[in-house]
Amino acid sequence: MLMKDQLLEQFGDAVQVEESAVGDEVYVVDRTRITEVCQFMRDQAEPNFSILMDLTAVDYLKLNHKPRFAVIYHLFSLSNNQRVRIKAYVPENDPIIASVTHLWAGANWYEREVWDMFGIKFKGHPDLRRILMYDEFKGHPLRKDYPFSKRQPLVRNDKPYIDKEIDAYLHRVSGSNGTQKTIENVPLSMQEAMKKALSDSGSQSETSFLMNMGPSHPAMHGVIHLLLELDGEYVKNTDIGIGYLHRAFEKESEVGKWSHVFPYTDRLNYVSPLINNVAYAMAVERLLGIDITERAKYIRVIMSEISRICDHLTCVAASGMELGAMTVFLYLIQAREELWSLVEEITGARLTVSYIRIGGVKGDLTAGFADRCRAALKETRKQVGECHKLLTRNRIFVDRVTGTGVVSKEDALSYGFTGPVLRSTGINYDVRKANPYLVYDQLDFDVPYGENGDNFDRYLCRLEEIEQSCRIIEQALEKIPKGELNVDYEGKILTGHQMADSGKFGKTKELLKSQALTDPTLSGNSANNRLNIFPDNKRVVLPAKEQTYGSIEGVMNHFMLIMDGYGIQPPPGETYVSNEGANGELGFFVVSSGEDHAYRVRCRPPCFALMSGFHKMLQGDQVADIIASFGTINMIAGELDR
Amino acid sequence: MAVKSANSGESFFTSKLDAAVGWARKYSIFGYPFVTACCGMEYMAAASSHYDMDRFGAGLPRFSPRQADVLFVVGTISHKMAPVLRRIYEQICDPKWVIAFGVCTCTGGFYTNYSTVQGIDTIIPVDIYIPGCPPRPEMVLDGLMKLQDRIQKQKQVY
Repeated sequence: MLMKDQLLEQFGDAVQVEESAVGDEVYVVDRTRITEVCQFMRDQAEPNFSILMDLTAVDYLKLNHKPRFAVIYHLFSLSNNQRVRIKAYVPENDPIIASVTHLWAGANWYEREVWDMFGIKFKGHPDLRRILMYDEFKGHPLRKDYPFSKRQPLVRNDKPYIDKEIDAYLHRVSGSNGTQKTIENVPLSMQEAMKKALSDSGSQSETSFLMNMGPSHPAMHGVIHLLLELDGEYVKNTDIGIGYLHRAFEKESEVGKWSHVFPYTDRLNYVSPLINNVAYAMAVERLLGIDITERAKYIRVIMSEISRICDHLTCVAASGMELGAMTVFLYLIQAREELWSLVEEITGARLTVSYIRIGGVKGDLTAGFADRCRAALKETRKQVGECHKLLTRNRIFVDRVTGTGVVSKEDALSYGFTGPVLRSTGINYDVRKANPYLVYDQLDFDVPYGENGDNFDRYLCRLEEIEQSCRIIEQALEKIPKGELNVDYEGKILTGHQMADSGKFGKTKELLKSQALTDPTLSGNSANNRLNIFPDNKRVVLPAKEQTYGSIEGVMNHFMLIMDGYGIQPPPGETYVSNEGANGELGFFVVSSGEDHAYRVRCRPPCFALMSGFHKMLQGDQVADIIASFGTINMIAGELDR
Repeated sequence: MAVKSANSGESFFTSKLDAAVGWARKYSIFGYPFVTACCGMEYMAAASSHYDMDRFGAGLPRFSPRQADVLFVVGTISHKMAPVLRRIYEQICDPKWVIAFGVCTCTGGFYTNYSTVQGIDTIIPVDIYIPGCPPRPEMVLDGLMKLQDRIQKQKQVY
């Protein structure tokens, strides 16, 4: 029986089907019956939806939609990998909806975020307080009527340090300095709120005491604030404070044009930026309804997997270092350098790459890339081998990571864990296998999973995933459809910037005939070669530079995509697309109003779910185990706080 | 100025005390990496063996402000984080220096929204600005050498 029929039979008028132009399964539910519907979906529906993948909201103020808000639930079924979106409209004058925290523990943080960002209250939520912003903050920033750059600083100076040199110098000489002023408004209220949350949980006894860890702590690679309730060395309870790196990704995305979001996605998970690029591009392409070329798909897979390896290398390196294994850190970072030089060769940047474009990729692979890539993979395998030798049977390391940071299958599902942390518990869910995207269904790879859900399993999962990613890249290099790359055209090769320069000086006559060498600064392939990496779609893809500089059609095409009010304009609609990030499911929920900029971009960061259940992993462990657990989770503040 | 003694054959040199102390200080930088965001990845790259910040005597990060003398502010500072940064700065003992690592710390970078501090120099004084998003390790080393110059030339506090 189809999901639609089941819901209509059970709830009648309270559920309506919303037509989605891109083929998502969407149901609009009356807000008074949201908990019943969610309960039905989780327990009775066939198949049942055991994971709450995402919970967010949209403010429809500028679309003149009544009611103003919608709370969005993304549910996922593990049994047949089906995805369903449930929408419940909430009016502006009474922004309340029932909480689903009793169904999925992971909803707790999501609902707090929606309250913080949109001001929608959740009835029955155990602890509804701000999560990303501070308590002193007034207003709800993701509402459409909150001004984009209205700041509410906590530290105020009477005057900024305008003449910094003199100021700094005077300070050293005489000790007179502006910073001697007292600190105003230190957000103690947050600390108080966290304390209260701990005492409300009722676990405090006479022997226990509270201890702060973070937000600036040597072993916390990332800004996070743990308030620990300790009984001696043992952790009884934890409250986690986040939001210290909230950079308003979602608000920024609504300001620039569709393509302007890419640089911000780089900085979400800054250890594997290419995966974020790909996920966002896939979401917009789905809205546009365009397919990309086979070669571009392979390039995306190769670059994503290189990123994934970098991410896992960094995670294992950092957690090794925090447990005292400095050598491992140096070895693995060395391997990462090899891979980064590959990334730099293709994208032009080491870290913040913005390489993926809507409709394709910025430039083709360079000549001889495959060989250099294989060499880098060989080096990576060598360093991973060293890591195995140094850690995997190292008594000190094994003792510290075995049996610590344990999470059960039930908790992992309830909190919406994904990625290596979920797989370490034995649930083998990987978006690349469950909902294959790009060309992952044509490649042969395994998804490693553990059984104990402890730190050691997560460590092993990550190392094995590095090996599997190497395999994927090697196969992709073999299978990638050939493109005419960097071919000499009548003996004349121009680099992209030379071509641009001669265009600027009016030397355009030769440009149409000649062919540019792929160059990090400009994607200057000839028009024919571009067809390998870009679809033939003038409404989405920028023309080749030789067209822009060499022909009037090219200039006009370029112009139409760059000018305000023109550019890429996906038809009105909403979609959710996810891919497998290094830490788990990375989803983008994008809403288009048919304009040249996004109406709403929501990122479903894997870390957010992981951190919302982190306190479960710490319970009963010792203080020193926090370091190991935090390391193997690989929290990335950029995507946690966005 | 190095002088060779005619009588004993032993050598010695003369200098200003300020210059000697500055010379010592610039090669024993104990950094406090206040790492918040993406720039941390390049900080890691600059600190590990490939680029090896240790060559400049700045290889030992101290994670306690009491033991550090250069505050590396690495990554975006949000308004929620600002009081923490300010407090850490005040906890560092004199003499102390601040490096703004990455464009977010210099000016706020391309984050012009409600949550981001538009340059940490609105909160604490800054000695060296290293722009870039994130800066390459070469730029970091360049910034570090500029700081060393500055330490060498400044009037020392004892």
